[in-house]
Amino acid sequence: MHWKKIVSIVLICMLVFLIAGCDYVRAVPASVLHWGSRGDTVSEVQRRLKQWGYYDGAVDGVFGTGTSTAVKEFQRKNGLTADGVVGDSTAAALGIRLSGSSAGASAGGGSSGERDLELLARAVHAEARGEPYTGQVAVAAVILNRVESPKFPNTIAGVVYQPGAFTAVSDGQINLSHGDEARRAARDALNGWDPSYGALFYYNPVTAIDPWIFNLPIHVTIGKHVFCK
Amino acid sequence: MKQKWIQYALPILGAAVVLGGLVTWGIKERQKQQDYKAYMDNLYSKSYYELVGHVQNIQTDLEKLAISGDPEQTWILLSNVWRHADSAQQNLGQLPELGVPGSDMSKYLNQVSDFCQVLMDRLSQRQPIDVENQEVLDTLLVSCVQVVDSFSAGQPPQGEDALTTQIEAPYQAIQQTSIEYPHIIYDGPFSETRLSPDLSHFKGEDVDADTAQRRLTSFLGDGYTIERGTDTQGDIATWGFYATPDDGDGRLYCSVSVTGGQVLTLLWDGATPVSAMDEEAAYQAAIDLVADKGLNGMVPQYRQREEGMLLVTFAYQQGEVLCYADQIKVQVSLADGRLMGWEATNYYLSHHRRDIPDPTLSPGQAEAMLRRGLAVMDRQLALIPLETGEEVLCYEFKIDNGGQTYLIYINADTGHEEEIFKLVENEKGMLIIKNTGGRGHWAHKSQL
Repeated sequence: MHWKKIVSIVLICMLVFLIAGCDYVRAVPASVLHWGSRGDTVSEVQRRLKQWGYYDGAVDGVFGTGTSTAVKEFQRKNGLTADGVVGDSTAAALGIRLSGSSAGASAGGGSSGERDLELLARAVHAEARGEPYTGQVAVAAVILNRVESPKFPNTIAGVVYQPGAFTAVSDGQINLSHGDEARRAARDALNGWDPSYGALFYYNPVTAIDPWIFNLPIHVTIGKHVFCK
Repeated sequence: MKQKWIQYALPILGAAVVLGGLVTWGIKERQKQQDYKAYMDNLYSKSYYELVGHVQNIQTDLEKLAISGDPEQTWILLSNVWRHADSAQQNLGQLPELGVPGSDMSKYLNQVSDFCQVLMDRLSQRQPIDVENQEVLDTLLVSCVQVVDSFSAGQPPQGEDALTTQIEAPYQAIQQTSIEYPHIIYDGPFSETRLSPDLSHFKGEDVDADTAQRRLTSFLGDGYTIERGTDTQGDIATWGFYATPDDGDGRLYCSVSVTGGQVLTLLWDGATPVSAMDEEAAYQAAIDLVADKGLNGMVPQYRQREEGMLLVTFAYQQGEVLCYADQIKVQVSLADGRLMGWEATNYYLSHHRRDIPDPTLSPGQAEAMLRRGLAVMDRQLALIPLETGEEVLCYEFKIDNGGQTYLIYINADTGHEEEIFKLVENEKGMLIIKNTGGRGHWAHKSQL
């Protein structure tokens, strides 16, 4: 009797362990967000609506009544059909991308310019999603500044994929699909906007561990990142 | 009795199966991991060995350059050094950085590659390598020898533990050798003088935060609530503000320069406008906006439609000459034509009253320098900023070659073909391609 109990407990523990080990299950983003939807994209929507004063509930990734009302108000104010559902046009106005929606006309697709833009956007998304928009532009600008500097590789791919240069590249986040915000940030940087005014480095003072980086002259702090040269 | 036995056997068997499965899986995963490690090791080793090989070639070719008397041979040697230095620099970028990134060795290799290109360019204009240039080449050779020596000091170890140790040992050796890399100044983008922005034209009295805020308020006009934001330091110091429109979702991130109190940058952080107006009307709105700010002589160059906004780039025209270095970029909303973005840093860094001498060549003579058979669609005098920071007067020819549009810049004094850009027009506007990576055409280049 005693035996059975022990073995059963061990078996259950193993099962739990196996299930816990399967932590790579990702919530598949819905192609339209509506009441009852859940996930990261919903959180994004809630974050923005909150930032702009439409929503004052919790940013919890659950599309409930509060979120629905906020979406309707946003749609009303921006000339969209106020149905409380986030489809392609509402998502575009919010600045996010829904999976399964057609990527906004990437013309000249396959041209080197578009490839560079896409890579830069993914790098920005990997490194700085959740950061203020200006911070994202600054991150993209740092990458471009490095391309132009003799101390770093001379191509966008060379800079982004330089081993160890960006933690989000080293751990594979570079392969996540980016949102429209990251794309806009990358494009603004390619068009010449640089809120860091020439910075070559940035770090998060809370998580940075290399002592040498703290000695570099600081240009500006945006969100969680300190930009320096 | 039998029942009891089965009662125990089954769960124990079950546990054994699960355990066995886990162990097998574990072993397979470890195997995979070791394979990947080996794969990475091999890639790193390849990059390392190629790097060493290229640098050794640079040394040999620089030595030959010092004694070659034949211009053709000199040309070939220069192009070899250029090629090896460029490849070496790429190899270096594929190896993991140890210590402070932004390597001095990388900078050295870029300068070598760059300097050779400059000499090749001059050779092509019949200017041989002079004594000064040779001295620079000699200095570069001295450093090269030091780099080669440092490689020999650390042989990459073999052995299984290798991922970091494989690279770490030779790398430590390289970084511990104190190599005196020369500071060379020459006509190239990686010259010492180009590593910081040129502030010689960035003039004006310093302003304090309050004055800056007043300037911003009068720049934006009514309808905005302005509060203090993040200031920047460094080469360009600015006062930072946030301007929230009374009607609108989001705010403008604003920078006003300390020197001269100019509005340098506006960046919109908020909802993307929903297109509602005609592109032509938005284009005109952008032109009116720039004129409204008292900036005269700004001529619109290119426009691009991007997600609810129209980007229009402007360049300053002095007399007949377009000065590309003095550029301003404006983003207007395609919902109502209001100002959403502004980038004038390059304009304020480089704008000044220029003494532009008349071109030596007539338009006809310049056009004769073009390759035969090209259809010329348009012509314009332009002052283009070279990689060195210098400005050169050129005739800008817009030509059509088999359906593709290009811009060719012919030096207005020497007839030398300075640059070629490819224009790609798509439904969003104009895309200007020079080569991959970076910011491209002067209408987009940054001085920083």
